Amino acid sequence: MDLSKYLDLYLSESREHVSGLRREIPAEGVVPPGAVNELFRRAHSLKGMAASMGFEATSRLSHGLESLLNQWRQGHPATSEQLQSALRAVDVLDASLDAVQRDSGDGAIAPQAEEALAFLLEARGDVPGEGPGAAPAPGMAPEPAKPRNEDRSVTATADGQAFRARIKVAIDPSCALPAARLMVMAERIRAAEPMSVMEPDLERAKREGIRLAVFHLPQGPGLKDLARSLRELPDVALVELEQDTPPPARAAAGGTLMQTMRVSAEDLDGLRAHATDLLYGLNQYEASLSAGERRSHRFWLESERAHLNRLFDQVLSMRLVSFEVLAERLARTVRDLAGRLGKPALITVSGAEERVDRGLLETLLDPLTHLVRNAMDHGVESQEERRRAGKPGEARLSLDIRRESEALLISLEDDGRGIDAEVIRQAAVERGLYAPHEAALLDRAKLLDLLTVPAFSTRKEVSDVSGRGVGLDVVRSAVESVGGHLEMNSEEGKGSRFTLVIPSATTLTRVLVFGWDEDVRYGIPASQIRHIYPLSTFPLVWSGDHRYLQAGDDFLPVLEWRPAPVGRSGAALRLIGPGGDRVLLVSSVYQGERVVIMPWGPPLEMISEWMGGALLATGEIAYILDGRVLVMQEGD
Amino acid sequence: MPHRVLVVDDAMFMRAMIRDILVNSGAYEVVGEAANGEEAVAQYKALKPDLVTMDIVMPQMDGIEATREIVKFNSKARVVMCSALGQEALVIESIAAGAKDFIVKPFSAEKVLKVLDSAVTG
Repeated sequence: MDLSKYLDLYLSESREHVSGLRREIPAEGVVPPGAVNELFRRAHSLKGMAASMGFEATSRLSHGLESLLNQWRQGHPATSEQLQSALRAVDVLDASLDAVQRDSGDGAIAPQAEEALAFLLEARGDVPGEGPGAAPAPGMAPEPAKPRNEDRSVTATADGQAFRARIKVAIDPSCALPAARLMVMAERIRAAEPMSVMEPDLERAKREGIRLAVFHLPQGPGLKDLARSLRELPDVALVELEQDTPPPARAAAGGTLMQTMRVSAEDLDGLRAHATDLLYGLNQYEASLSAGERRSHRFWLESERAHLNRLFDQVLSMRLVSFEVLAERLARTVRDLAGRLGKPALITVSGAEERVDRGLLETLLDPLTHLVRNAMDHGVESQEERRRAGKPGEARLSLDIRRESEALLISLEDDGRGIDAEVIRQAAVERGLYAPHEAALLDRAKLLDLLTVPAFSTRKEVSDVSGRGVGLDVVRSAVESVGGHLEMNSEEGKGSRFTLVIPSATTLTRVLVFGWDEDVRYGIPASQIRHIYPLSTFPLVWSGDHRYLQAGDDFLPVLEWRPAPVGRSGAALRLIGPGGDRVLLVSSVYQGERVVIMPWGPPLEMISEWMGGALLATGEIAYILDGRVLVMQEGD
Repeated sequence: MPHRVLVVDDAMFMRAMIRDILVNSGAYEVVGEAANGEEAVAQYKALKPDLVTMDIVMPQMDGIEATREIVKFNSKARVVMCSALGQEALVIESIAAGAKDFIVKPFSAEKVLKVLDSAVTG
């Protein structure tokens, strides 16, 4: 039998399980009883799949892991060695997937797998009645109490309103009485299936001249015929039948439904480009219509636009991946280096559920790996040195991912020896970068900054002594390539923190589009705007040299940024400021729109109130302002 | 065998037009005509046609009321309303009363036949 066609399936499903195992097996402490069944199921699935594919090393190792998990499942608490050996097994399983992907077999990792298996068996020890011989034989393992698939089908049918099929219909634009046409269809559908529900309801369809409707129906054998008979009706532009895939009849032993598939990032990019083109084309088309035509086509245009927006969003969200993939990889690097360098270390990760664009994640892989290596190699002291400094023998690293306003912040912190700024100062003089009296004036931040200067940071003697420096220029340029910047904090003896600040360049940001004249469009992220006041209702008052907008009892200072005359037809955008809100007066407010903000390249990016440019759905460019910076600049 | 149709309209012109469309298609024969709702109901009961084309706005009894009566007499009756633009509410009421479908004036032969074909088989 040709197994190669199942390879992609095998890889994508197995990766899901390996990720799950890594996520759910703690490096220390107690495994929550509820998690054990799930862990067991994962190992069991891995084993079953590997065995079916003939990947012996992988299947043996997953079997060993499964046996250990079974032991936990029966209430034996996990020891620290067991946790370590389980994680190690997971690492090797991960590597086996890479091997399979590379050369369609897992032979390359057989020695590691045997080694990891030996560790597992050793860590398992002799639990009474649970010796290695008592491990469930492949294919005979006890099944998890409730296979997932079964759960799902139960909830779906227990629900009386289980509409599993939909018929979408569109009425031809030439039809003069679309609601009546919808009603004829509704009657036909009801005759075949009395339980059907139409959305929107007829009243609304009539009132708004709606030509599209969805009928929700229970699944039934006659739906295809029904759809066919509807297609024969006059004035029908489209009839589409959608049926949910029935739940699998087979609640497979350890097998799960394929729920994900691998799609190349390139394909997604193509899809995204097409979606953009369609959206653009629709806008062009609309612009070419007369006002009357636009009115009569309004419903079509809007519903098309809504569909395209959904398509666009969906494509973008498909490109988003959880940070977990990367976090796991970094954690593995730490474990690996801890062993090799003889420096025990523990990494904690927070915020890994944050989803980021796949491309961004790929860009960040190298710089973050660099930082982790640096931290382990140079930042973290030897155990002896740490003891002398009164620190715990095991070093602590933390990786923290979070969003702040529109930006993504990724920081890596260690509790190592920190950076000796004086050594950098000295080296700066030695390298002839600064005269001694100049160097003496450099503050700590400036000195740390020198580490990211290419010619400087590659000097090995500096990095060795200062504890940092290897490849920091590389890290910096990688971050800057996506429009971000690198922040460094380091305290001698206490440790260092590196923060990658990434602007929202690759995610969708909702902006409010406005302008001061007809020609140029501006935008501000909607998250930075608290309120919009029409100037026709809210008066401006002078107090001293300052103008204020009076909104009820509030007097909001007016930002006198780029003062342009704004009449009473204009509006005031209330920008959220840490030290109090301020309003920006604009002549017209156009629309809210979700855009990708593209940062300007240098030197424009130096002007800090500009976040970048964005392509609007109309094809125009909008200049995006950073409301936070505006508010701060105006601070008295 | 052609389907037997009762054509109901207070305007002879409209009846003639519909008759031509039907007869020319070869698929229908006109077995009766009526100029108002009351006549329509009486004719229906007498002729038991396969299909009725029913104008909405007519003297004596309007098309909606007539449809209601006909459907009361034969729940499987196939009545297709003849409507003009702007009568959507009336058409919807007719369908609620039991009409199977509708055609909109001005008639195009193609469209009329499509609706009738679908109504007579559906």
